[in-house]
Amino acid sequence: MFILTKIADLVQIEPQDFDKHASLAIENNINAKYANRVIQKIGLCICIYDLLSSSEGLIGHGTGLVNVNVEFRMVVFRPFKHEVMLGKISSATKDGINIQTDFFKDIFVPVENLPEGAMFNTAEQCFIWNTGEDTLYYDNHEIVRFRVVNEVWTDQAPTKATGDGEEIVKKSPYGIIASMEDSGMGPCLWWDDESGEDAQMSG
Amino acid sequence: MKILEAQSATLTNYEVYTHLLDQEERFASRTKARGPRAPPVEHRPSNLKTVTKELLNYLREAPSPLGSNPLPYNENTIKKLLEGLRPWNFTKGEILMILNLRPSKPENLNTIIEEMESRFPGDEEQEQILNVIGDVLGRPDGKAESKAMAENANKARLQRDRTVAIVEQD
Repeated sequence: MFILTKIADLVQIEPQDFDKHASLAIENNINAKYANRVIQKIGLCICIYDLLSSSEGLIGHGTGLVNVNVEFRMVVFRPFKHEVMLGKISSATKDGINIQTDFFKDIFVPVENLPEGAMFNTAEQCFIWNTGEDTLYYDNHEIVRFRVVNEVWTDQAPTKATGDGEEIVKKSPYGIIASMEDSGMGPCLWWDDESGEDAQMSG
Repeated sequence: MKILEAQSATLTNYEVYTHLLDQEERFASRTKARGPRAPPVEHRPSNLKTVTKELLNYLREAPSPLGSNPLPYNENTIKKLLEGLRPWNFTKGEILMILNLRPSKPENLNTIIEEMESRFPGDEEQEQILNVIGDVLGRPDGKAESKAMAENANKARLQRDRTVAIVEQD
């Protein structure tokens, strides 16, 4: 689920941080810039892993900022293709199921990636899987196992204003398309519960 | 910003977990120091605080193995697991998922291992694999785990019933 990415960047340390240890000031600076942000085609940055090298601090004209060239490694959330992960169902529409984790909210399972016999129930606003003998519910907030099948990148770089006042729909910069088709996928309770299948039947 | 290497290594959930805890601990020890020569109060970037908290919550939630008490993993776990699973040819990705998800049943192993039926036919072999995993990574406390998950699901179900009731009232 997580990778390390090597990045080089210029860090500017403000005078009020001069009394801090240099490495700490650099780390804080990097975290403030990258943590919880998406880099296109790289993934969601979590936090700095380690500082590899840094140059001498240089002060430019006009400001008191100290400029340091640094190389560091970043912990990045980027599940690989076919990786199996855990998440929670957040909502469902007739097009598919939305899954989220605590820190990442853009996981989508389209209806064609659900097992055969899964149908959307309009009254309950959730998917129901008729296995033939049982009716199983894909309830909201239920923890599910899913497989990553694809990723969607949307560059959010500012575009030229269209001028006619048209609202540009903001898409999330990084989305994951997932599948719950195979056996063993879907709510963990279905597969892990040892006491039988009474837990999910009450719905 | 310049990306020097898009992917220089892969990390397991356990490694990320310990890194985050380490970071929290270092921060706590820095802020604990008091006295005239203590460093000034430190403010961490709020985006870092958010993502750290959310990620720790995610990693600790059942049925994640990092949520079990006491923590079944330590620094030797990865090495031991690699040694234990050497007789079978698992790919790096498969090992990574085994470490992250700790499969305890053939059904769970099947989701992780590609073409398991043809590569490792027979219940006995699969049982052996699961035994090695259980010996190194510990076995999940099935009851506590499904209890936690069922509680979650029940909460969700209550919420759903309430929404349905509201919709019907309208």
